[in-house]
Amino acid sequence: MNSNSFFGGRISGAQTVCLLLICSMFSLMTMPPDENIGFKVQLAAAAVSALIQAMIAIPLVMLLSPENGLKRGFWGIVCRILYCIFFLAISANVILESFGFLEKQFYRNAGKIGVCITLAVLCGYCAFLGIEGLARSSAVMLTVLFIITIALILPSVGKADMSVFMDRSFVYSGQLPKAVYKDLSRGGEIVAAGFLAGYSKENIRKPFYTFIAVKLLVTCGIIFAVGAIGGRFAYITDYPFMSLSAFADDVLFGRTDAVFMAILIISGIISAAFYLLIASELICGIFDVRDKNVLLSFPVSAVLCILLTFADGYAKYLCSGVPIILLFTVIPLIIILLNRRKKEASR
Amino acid sequence: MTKPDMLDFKGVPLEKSLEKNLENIRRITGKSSDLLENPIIINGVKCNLICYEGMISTSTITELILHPLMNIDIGQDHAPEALLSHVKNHMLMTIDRGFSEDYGDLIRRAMSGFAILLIDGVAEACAFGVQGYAVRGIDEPNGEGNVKGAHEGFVEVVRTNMSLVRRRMKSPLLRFELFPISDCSNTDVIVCYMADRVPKETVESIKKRLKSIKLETILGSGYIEPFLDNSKLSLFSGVSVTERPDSFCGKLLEGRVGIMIDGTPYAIIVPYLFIENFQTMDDYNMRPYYAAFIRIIKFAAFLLAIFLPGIYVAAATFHPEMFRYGLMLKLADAEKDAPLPLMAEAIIVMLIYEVVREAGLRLPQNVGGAVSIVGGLIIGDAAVSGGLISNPLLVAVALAVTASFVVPNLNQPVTLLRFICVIVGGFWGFFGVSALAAVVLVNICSIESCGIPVTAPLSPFTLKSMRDVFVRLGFKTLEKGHADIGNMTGSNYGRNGHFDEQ
Repeated sequence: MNSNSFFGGRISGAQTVCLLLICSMFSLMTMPPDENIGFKVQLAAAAVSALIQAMIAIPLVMLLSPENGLKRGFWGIVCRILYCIFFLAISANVILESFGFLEKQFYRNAGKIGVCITLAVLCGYCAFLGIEGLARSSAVMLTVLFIITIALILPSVGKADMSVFMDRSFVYSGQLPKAVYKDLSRGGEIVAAGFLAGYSKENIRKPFYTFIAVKLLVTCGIIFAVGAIGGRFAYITDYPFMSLSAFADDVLFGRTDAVFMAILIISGIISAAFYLLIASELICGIFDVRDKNVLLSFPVSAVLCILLTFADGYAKYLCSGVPIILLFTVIPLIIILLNRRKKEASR
Repeated sequence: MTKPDMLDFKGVPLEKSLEKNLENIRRITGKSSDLLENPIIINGVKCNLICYEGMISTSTITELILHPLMNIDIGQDHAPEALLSHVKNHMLMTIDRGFSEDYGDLIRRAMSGFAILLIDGVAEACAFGVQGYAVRGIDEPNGEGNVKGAHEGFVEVVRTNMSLVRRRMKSPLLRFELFPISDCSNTDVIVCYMADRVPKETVESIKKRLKSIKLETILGSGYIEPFLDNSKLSLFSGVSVTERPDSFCGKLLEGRVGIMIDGTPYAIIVPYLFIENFQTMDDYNMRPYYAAFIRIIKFAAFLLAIFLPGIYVAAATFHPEMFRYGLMLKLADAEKDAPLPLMAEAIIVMLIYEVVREAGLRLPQNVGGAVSIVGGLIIGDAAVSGGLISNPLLVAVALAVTASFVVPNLNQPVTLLRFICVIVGGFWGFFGVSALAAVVLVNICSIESCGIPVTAPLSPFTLKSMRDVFVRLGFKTLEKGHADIGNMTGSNYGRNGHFDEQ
């Protein structure tokens, strides 16, 4: 969507996939349970949601190629503002989710101001280091995450119970659309994907579809592991994925919750920094900032993000459900139509 | 010609008159006591052989310069031009010789250990390389010792270092480009590379960057490093330094550029990869399986050196459930009598260590040993038996400090990060440690050296180069095509990785 990247930097297709995956891993790890949606339905919903993303969201996002994307002019600026608010909100939301997780699971008396400001400043700094740093670190982090997840799951394999996947009591009509909607509304990274086109070295089509496929696999794997190992306990805990650590009988550690926290925080910082980077880029686009002044956009976006963390209700609303779906379907369509009308008028 | 100004003599051409030339040289050098003037008459022409005391070998100058000069016989032709032509065309005298036409070049050569022959009547001087200054012998490198590799290290004399490299790389593609940098000290610097493996643009860009350095003097590699380092606001550097000629040659073969500086035994290498910190010459002299084992130990040691005390403080303060039950009881028992918070204890122990280490480094070797005994045994033992510091914490800090020596190149950032890790771990537990880890990770990943990400070949991933990262494959595999640094994924080597563009 951004035709000219203000900050420069180029990433490969594999790095694009890793960056998007780390963002979705964070939302998967903090995914709250829903007692009314069975695991079988969750698996089906993940597949349907991936299909919708692949068939509708990704083509729309890709249509907004750097040449046809957000132009200057009134509507261009309006769209930039909308996307900027969204990315600030989603980064604030990642920070809030991290804080919520810390407060609920580890530090009952954690101060929201301290944690949110610290995280926002760190994310601002990481965003300042550039897209390449974030993309490379997401690849490293994804590898670490994969190894730790396997290490968490393997010791608990013996305790796996498939009965939750057979239980029919959790299935009732209307579960699937609800689950699909829930899954789609966690897809902030799909909106971000459109903005990665400006940074990509190669055609973005293949990485996007690879991302959707890998995300589906990972989602199914996690739902399956949580369901099989956690069973019904996964419905009553706030963080089902983390609950796996409670079942792991580790030889080195008493409990591995803190290890889980570490990977969640690192993933959170990388994904929030990524969203902040896009927000900073959009701020530059809105005010048409050039040269060294672009660096000012990082502290500005970090401060705005901090402010949004204190308006947590708005931040959560802005990056969930309807706004996300609007941003990856309706608004791209409007932009395309506006661009076409402009082209026709100029002819 | 106007008499050259004391500070502005570079590029000023020599006079024809010997007297005027000598007068100007005296003026430029302020009649420095170590400047020797030797007036002689050669074949009826007034000449003067000037050199700097201590910079030349007296026996060489007598045998190779003075003796042949005194025996010159070109008949009745007493023209100075004829004498110069004879010296130029019929007398070799030394291998390293040159001709100066201006004062800047003449003074630089004289100060580099050349004997300068000034001939009355010609505005050109002959310079003969007869260097003979006192130098340190080739010795085992201090910071990069190994077991089975060569035991030679670079020395302070750049020309000796050049020979150490050439001896190992008898290839016409190995190029040395020597030029002086820094206006005041005129330090000789050599840019060294394999012509077929380094893009021309990169070499030119490095040379341009070096020549643009405005420092008054270059007394060590640290003076130049910042000018070749593009890492922004980072604890980690984008250039590497070595004092091993074998390691230097290995890097050149991978397509890197080496920079040797006169007066320091450390050579700079760019581009640099983070993974190089974990590679030593011994890895290539051991069996591959053992080299792989040692590599993994080094990676673990790097992580332990930064995070172990911080993780211990964080876990014991905020997350004791992490420890297994038996271990937790033991730790609680050890910590219960400690009068200070765990974080303060850790910082004190680490500070004591840093003080002792610094004292041991700066003091003469004999006294340094005594400092270690006082620090290690007396202070350490007294602090533990007095109940000021707990044993498990001491073990954690000692292990971390020892681990940091496994990767000596990273000692500086590791030491600082260890302190930061203890502080954030003490205040915020695992949250602080993981936030620090995230920032360090992104920081390292964002650094590029000459357009190559320092985290390559891990991220961006290059399968071919992975044969010498976590494991070192056998030479039978390694011989199948060399892994040029410029061929790595994500590399912009020679394309947009130039210093001038960044």
